[in-house]
Amino acid sequence: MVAIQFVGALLLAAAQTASAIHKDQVGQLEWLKSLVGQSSHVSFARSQAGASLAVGSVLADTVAVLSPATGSIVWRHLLAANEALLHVSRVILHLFNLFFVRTVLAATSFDAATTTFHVRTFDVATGFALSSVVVKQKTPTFCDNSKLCEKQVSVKLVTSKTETRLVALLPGSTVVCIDLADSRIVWLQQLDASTSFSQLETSAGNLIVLGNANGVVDVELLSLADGSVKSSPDPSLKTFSCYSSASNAVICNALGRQSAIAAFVPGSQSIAWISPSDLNLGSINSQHLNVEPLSATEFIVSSNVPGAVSPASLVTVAADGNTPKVTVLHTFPEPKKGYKSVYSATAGDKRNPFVARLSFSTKKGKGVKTGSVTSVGVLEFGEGGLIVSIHLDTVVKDGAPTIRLLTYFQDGTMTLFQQGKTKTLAVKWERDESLAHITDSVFVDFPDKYSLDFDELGEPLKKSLELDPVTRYVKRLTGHVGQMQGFLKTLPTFLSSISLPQRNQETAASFNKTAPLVADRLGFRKLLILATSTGKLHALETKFGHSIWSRYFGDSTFAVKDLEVLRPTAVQNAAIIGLFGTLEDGKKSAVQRINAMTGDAIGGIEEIGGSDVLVLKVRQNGVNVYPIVDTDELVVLYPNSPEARDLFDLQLSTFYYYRIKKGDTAVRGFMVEKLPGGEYKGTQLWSVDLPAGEVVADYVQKDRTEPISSLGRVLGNRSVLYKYLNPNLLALATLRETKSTSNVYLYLIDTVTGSILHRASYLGAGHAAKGLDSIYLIQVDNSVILSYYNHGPEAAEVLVEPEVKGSVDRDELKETAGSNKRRKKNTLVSKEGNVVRNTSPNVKGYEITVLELYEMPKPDARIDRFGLNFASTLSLNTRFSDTYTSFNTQKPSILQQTFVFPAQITAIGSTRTGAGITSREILFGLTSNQLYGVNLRILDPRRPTGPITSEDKEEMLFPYRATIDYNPKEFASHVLEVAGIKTIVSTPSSLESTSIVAAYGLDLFVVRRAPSKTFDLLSDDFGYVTLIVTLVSLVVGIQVAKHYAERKRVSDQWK
Amino acid sequence: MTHTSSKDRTEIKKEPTAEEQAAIDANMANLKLKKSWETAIAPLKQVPMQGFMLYMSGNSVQIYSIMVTVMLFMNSFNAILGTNHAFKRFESTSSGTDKKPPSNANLIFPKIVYILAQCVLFGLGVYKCSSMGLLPTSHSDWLSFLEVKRVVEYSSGTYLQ
Repeated sequence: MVAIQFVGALLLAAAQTASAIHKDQVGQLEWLKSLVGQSSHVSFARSQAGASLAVGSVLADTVAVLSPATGSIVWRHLLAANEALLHVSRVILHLFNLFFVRTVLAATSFDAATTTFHVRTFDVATGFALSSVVVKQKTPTFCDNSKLCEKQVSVKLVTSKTETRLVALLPGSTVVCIDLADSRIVWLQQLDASTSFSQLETSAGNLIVLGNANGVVDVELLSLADGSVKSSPDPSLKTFSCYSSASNAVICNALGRQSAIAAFVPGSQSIAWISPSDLNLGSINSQHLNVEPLSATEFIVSSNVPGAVSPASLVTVAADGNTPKVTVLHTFPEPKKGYKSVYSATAGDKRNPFVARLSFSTKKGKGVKTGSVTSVGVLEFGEGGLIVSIHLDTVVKDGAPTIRLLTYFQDGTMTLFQQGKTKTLAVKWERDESLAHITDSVFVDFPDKYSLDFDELGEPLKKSLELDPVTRYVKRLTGHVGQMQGFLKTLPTFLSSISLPQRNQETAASFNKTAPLVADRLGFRKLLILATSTGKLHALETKFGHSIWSRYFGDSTFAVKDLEVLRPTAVQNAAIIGLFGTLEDGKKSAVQRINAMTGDAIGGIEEIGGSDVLVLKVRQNGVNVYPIVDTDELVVLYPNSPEARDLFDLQLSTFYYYRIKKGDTAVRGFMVEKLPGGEYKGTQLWSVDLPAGEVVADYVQKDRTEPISSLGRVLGNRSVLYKYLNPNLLALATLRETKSTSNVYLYLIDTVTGSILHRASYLGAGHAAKGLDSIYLIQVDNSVILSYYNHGPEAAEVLVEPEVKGSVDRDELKETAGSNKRRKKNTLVSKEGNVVRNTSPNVKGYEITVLELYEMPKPDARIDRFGLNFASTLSLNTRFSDTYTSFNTQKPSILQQTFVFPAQITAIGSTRTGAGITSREILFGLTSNQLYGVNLRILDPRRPTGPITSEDKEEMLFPYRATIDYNPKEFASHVLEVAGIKTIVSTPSSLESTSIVAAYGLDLFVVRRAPSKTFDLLSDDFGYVTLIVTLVSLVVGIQVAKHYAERKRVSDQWK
Repeated sequence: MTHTSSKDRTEIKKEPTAEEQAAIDANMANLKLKKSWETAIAPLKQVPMQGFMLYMSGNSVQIYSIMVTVMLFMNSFNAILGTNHAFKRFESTSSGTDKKPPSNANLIFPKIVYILAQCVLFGLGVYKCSSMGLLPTSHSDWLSFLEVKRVVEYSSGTYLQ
């Protein structure tokens, strides 16, 4: 008892000091993978500063520039969560009379919060924002689906001697001209909204906007000066795709006119039709024509019929009087059948045109793809699925043309090949961007070094058991002597290592990849298995982030959604992971088992049900069974073995499940019955229908596997508040929004009985803005933590508290809402005349509300099985029942406190340790791209608001302060930028003090956190030398003293 | 010279008669009883002093307060064990002519009171321990021995999405 109190006191004392890391520990305790996401817009850029690779990712909402030499990020911008990136294009600015060239990235995005479009330009070399223009436009409704929105964006740059303008076609048929010098809109033209315009081309003084109006091509000609509509050339085209050069000609292919290509020179106002056969392209469907501009008047026209050869020609388009004329300059030799080609030409008009062609095949074959580069050689692409896109860059270096090739694979890998001196393409670098799209993660222990099959000397146990004890003893003795000799050899290095204060001897660079994959002594090394939306699985070790294995499920339609540890690591046996996912775009559900250490599949993909299934989990006697519930409430077990059925039958009478999703308006609970045929079927047991207007914003169930170190909280007077630890507790935050108001309600529901244990209202609370999610929930121990944005009293919708099914005491509701002493007590009268207390403080900002749940409001009292409570201080555990059932329970006593959080939150998580003795730390992902930790002691509803009493001091409570201080030492990410954190997960290490935390979203960051400092480790600067010197001097002192004492005794006897 | 005079004195002293002897014995017994009661009550007289010392030593767990409390326990415990020894001198010796064994029945009550008084001191120590928070009397002392309740029902709900 005393020991526990002592440890507790140590922890509390330690928690007061921050756990900042030392300078030389940077990179030892954490690692970071900076990512840019699966890129949708890629372009090679060249400027005075050198070559760069500009990438924009619509999926990850990032604009970035990579170094083509190393693949590292030069700069990166992550858009706010409410902004969806639509388009990124590289434009070249000519400044000071075309003398100074500056390459600029123009990024167009849609802001869901303000329903406006943003057009921003960034300098490619530095990443500095050059201009930013907000276009307020009537929101096209389809922009809620950003995929549709993306297609309707086109950006072009127009430069003249006097000014630089950017013309952008935005969704909703809006064309806007922006002056980049002073970031202002020069003109804005709203075209016919019924036509979906998708392409913008510029030519001498004119803008050509092309769109599709009910299957008919709509071409609008606008004046570049003021945006006025001039005329529409030929409205008879049906399907098209058009390509223009920088200033002059437009060339289109058109369907509807069989075997025809249209060449259109805007100045001439007429269209020339050329047959593909004239271009040596054969008789092919013009639908598959592809036109790529190389220079002002030169184009490569190719045919890309799937499965057929793709011939191509280099043509020039020039105005011959009033009619455009197309001349074939060169016909490319036909590549192999089934090969696609991409072309690239050197930039700059003054140089000789140099055209590079890459032909590649996307033929399937065991995941290995090959591509060939004409007259360069054959490239072997590794396992990465199909090539999504290839970008070719050509540059004349020292008079000789060289090429660079960027390939994007389906699994999210981005590989850059560069032509070396020998003209062969070699892999320059590779980035795995699938890690930016993590869908689920799981931590797995490495197997133990020691096994049950071998004895401590590495001999097979079977053999050593056969030996007689004497031989075994001699063998062990000789083994130990051998080990001792080995140790003596390394003694000098060992001594020198302890005399110098050294931190981690193992570094990321010294990581031995060939070493056996075994657990380390302190358990910092675990396996982090990650499933990504690209279909690639990763297994990284948590110490340095090295990849142990990766696996790609590209060839099937299997999409992994959920990772479950089917069998944990046991001694030397590797864990087995179940990959639960969907097949055929979510139509079916399936599971695949894999070996966690190798990634090897165990068996094939097994179908387990239809779409939209619930994957539940029952654990008994160390065996996991997964009941899968389909939409008809039919329950199928995985694995569906007789043993699993027997196990499930045992649990059946006490097994319940519930259905809830974000955006729902009700929660429904079910029990499972066994039908006469032996099948299992769910029957609805209860339903909590939310009041009209409320929708589920976030929900979280208590983690069953959380270790419970203490059943109660010891108060200052040594009495105990018993924690309410119901693992079937669901915390549910709902949002009720109108145009001007926003309220958040928190429900605590027992998911067995469906009874609402608590309901609290937070008037004026909600998301910070549309698309900027701010409502997050987490359950830690007996705490429920809710974050939201407080819009202030004017956004509070004062309602008469509605009757919620499951009936909550109304007095209690008001009491809870008003319990916060800090809040202004504005009493308002609702329309119906009922007095409702408005609890919103008149401050807008992010707030965190913490609720602590206790069994009884009175200390030393417990909820008993029979609803009785024994408040007697003398009563011991024997007087309480040892089981807990939701059917005989009382509402918990709830303490609540709200804190102002000074930053915008993107995710909430918490640390987790082996025994749960260490105090918990709540981790917040911030929009400032940081990971911030707040000790749960700070987020404590018991923090006294009034003057602090001696009992509060005894309990070591901090006095209440409304704002959570921003402590620079508590940034888990210290100086690193961890962009776009969406999920924070943690796992215990073997040290009780230390938890391994992984935060991911765009970037992947893994760090060790010790919320109560590393109380179970000797400090790094522990004086080993002092200790040894003290011991040695003591021994010497004793010997010396003994000698003198002996001498004195003898001389005394001689007297 | 001195020897002679003392001899003379003894010679002068008369042998007490049986009545006188009985009276002396009774007187002695009374005196012893009185003295034994004084001894029995003596620990109670220490209570204010000990209380003051305990008060002065403070309620925090420190070497001094622990020492004072432990001494208090040890003293009273030893005193209780040595009760007979403490009352030895008050036992009636076999004096006079009758060879009856000495009757110490009248010392029982003082002894009981003595033990009770020591118990009061002991209790003072216990109270001190309690105020120092060293007695496992509160729920918090037994908290870590409590078993986590076994939850009968099992409920979950995770969509595969």
